Amino acid sequence: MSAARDWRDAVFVRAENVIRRDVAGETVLVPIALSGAADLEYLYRMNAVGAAVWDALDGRRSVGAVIERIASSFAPSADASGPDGPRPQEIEEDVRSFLGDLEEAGLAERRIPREAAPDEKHE
Amino acid sequence: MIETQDLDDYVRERVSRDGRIPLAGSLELTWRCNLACVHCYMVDYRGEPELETREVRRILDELAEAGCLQLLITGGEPILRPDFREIWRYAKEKGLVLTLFTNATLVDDETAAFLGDLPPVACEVSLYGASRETYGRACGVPEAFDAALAGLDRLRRALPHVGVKTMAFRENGDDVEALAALCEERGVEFHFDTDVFPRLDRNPEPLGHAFPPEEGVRRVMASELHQRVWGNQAETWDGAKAKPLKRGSKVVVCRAGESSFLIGPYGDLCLCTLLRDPSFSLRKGGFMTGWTTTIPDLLERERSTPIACADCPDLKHCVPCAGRNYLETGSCEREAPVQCQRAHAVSVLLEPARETQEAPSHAHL
Repeated sequence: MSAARDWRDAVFVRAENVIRRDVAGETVLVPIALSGAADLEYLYRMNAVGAAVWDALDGRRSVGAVIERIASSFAPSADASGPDGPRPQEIEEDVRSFLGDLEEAGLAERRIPREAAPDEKHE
Repeated sequence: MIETQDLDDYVRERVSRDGRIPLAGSLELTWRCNLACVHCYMVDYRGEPELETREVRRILDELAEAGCLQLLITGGEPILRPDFREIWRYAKEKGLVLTLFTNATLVDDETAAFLGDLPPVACEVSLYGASRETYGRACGVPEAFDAALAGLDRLRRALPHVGVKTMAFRENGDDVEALAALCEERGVEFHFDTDVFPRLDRNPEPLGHAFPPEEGVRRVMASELHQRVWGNQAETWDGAKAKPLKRGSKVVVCRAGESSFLIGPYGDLCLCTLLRDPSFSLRKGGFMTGWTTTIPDLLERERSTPIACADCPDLKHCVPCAGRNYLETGSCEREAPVQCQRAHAVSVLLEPARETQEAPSHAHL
């Protein structure tokens, strides 16, 4: 299996000690304990795409399924994004980058890639 | 897609960009306390029931829904409440960033471990003496000194950020350096002030324990500790430039209520610690109703007479305060004499040429 395939099959789990908050129209992540997540004096601001990715990390859905979910929400077509939305390729790169940031900050954990369940691959 | 930001910076940015949002509040879980500090501004509890656990939980729900991020849990002594841990856990699970003010006397191993699992972003311990004798004079319960030290030690072992603060007054003022040393030994931050307020019912008794304003300011400003630990404030005082009061025509001239609020143990939402009237009962209505009616109504209230502070040469060393005005004079619009005298004392210390000048007339009211 290729590295790209491994990546798309990986599953991310949100850290338990982080709370997602809606603060007057903005989504932020707030650490509530010290283990894993970063300093309590900081929060993490997310844009709409970031918040949608965060919400999709249910511990079962593969990265590939997350990307497809985000693409269907934010990119109006597979060929071009139109005047407002990003291209699917850009979404994949953004999601990968975002998940890397979450992992580095201790906000989410990547589980050992496994064979994705059929319903996840085609969600 | 994601950006890390310091919490305080975030609050400042949001208020600056988006206007009034209740981002930072205080919740007094109780006015009761197991100590009886002579300088305390709290009054005896009202004799009416404090908020029940379910009421506090409902208020916390509303605060989270309203966008509140930072919440100070204080009292009285908040750990006196048997449901303290339940409330604390609930607030943390709502994603509120909690700070704790406590006298530490009730912090046993179990409480410290609990807080260690769900830590406050900061914990400030009030410690009003460096010995049983001084502590007893200041707080009325000498033997509680040992419990306070033990609690402080448990907290500093369990939590990332613990500080000690004291108010220095006649009964304990000579202990400040010893307190600083005690804290240094333990590796916790220490700061002190000398600014005592009347009680919330306007009883001036605490002022009788305070140093005279000039001496109080001198003790703070002259302290090596102040220069080292409160360097920023010294710099602010020293470098302050006279500037017009932005809200000079209003009764409330400070920035309270832009992002901040206070909720008392009986469910009263009000502007701040010192200004409790008007208030909005959260037992009768939702938080956002009070935040969008009672608080802005107060913020928009115009003064009936021009503010005397506008032309005061001490203004750059002063923070005019409607709440303090009320507590000292009975009117939010009448300048608080102690506040004026303290501001003038700062001016004289920092600008020796001012020494020969009279304090503004309202400083002698």
